[in-house]
Amino acid sequence: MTALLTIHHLCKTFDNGTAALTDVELSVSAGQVTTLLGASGCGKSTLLKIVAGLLSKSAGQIDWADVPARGDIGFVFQEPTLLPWATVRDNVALPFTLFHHKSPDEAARVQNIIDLVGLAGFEGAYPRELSGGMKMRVSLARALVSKPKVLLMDEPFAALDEITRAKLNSDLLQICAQEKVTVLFVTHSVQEAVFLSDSIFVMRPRPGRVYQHFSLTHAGLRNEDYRLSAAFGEKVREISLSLKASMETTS
Amino acid sequence: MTHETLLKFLAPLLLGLAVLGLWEALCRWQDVPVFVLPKPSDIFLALLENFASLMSSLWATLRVTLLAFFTALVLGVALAALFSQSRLLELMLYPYAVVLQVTPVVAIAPLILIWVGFDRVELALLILATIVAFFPILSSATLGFRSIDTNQRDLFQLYRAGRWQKFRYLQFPSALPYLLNGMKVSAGLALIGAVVAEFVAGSGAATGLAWRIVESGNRLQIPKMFAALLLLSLLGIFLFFLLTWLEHLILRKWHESARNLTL
Repeated sequence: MTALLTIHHLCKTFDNGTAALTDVELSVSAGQVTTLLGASGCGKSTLLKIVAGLLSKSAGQIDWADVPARGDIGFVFQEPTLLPWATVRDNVALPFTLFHHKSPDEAARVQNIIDLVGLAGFEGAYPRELSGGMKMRVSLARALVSKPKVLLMDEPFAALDEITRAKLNSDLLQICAQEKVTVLFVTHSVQEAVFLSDSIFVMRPRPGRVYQHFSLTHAGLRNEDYRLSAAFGEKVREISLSLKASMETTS
Repeated sequence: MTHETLLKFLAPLLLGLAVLGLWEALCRWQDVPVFVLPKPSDIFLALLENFASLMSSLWATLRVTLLAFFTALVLGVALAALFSQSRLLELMLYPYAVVLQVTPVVAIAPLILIWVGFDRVELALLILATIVAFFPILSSATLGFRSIDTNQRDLFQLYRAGRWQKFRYLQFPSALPYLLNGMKVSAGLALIGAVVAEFVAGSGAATGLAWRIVESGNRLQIPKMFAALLLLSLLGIFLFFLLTWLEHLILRKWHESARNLTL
């Protein structure tokens, strides 16, 4: 599998002297879902923001297969981060508005992606009229509308209830397959990581670094039955043990 | 109209009518001299008798108030927008804006009158009322332009939005709730500024409601004085409700503050 981006010896130390990341080595394969899994404070979100270009790195290198242009990176934050004064349609169309694109193609693309995330009929609604899950779907649609090469997701479903979260996990897999987008996902939920990922990097904190890497293969459909299967449970157990060990190594 | 809305209008109205009734009864019962405290009926009669001159004065005060308010709005928002683009400019100019705010308008009014000239007293009134109305707009807009959610800022950075795009699509709409609140305060202060400036200008050069109050006081026409005061209060209430309605109109679809706005 071709690597979309490779990270070498990446370090991040904040201005106050806190070392957030040290010597991070990982690669994200094109077309796959790669997950950064770890406890709070292990630098997952910092790493994601460095990849997005929202934070600077202190040392190391990020090699892209193709240097990303404007709109090649989509970002879904922990909060939906919608513009409360804009409708669903205008929120989803925001990247095009900022790119000065106003063609009929873009309007069709906006409608298409709204339909894809299951929000048809809510185009004129304002964020405060939507549920938490629907807001996150708008956020996902906005991140995907510009057809990004990579979608960065920073614990996007952490604040949602378990049922909504499971539904969004399934929908995310379908949407990503349909859009053929590479995903770098951040979570602290082992179940979510195992369900979504082709590749998992377990991170350890203080300072954040990669502790262990897992490549996953999923036999058959990833649906609710899969969550209850012995194979799924075994993977969850294996990765949970790795996560536990990463914490013990730190302390 | 719901029961709750009806109550919102009726409760203060009934209380006002009861107070007026009590006032009228007490004045009649105690035979209070009209130059000490006129009865509401005397004030109403004075309002009818002097309707034309009071309305002309009301218009003069309203004109200065509105002009001062809009001037303060344009200047305040423009300066706050500049502050949002340049921290250095904000550090340089904000302390002087505070100085302008804390200096009593009564103290600088004579100076402004001398500079502008008594033949252009309306311009002096406009300047003084603008000075008073300016600061709430500046401070609320500055706070609003600065109060941007970190993730929203990151989102705009991710899509490489330019300064103007950030201002137009993010900072300005984010600042609207703050700005509209500042506008409500500013409109009230513009009226106060116009009245204070008229008091200071005095001597018949001004023709607004404040001058009518001074004139009536000097002539011991206390009912007319109360009538002018009543019009001033009504003007203030009108401006407040107008801006509350505007706030409701702009924010009702998306901002929590406008959800249960008291109109």
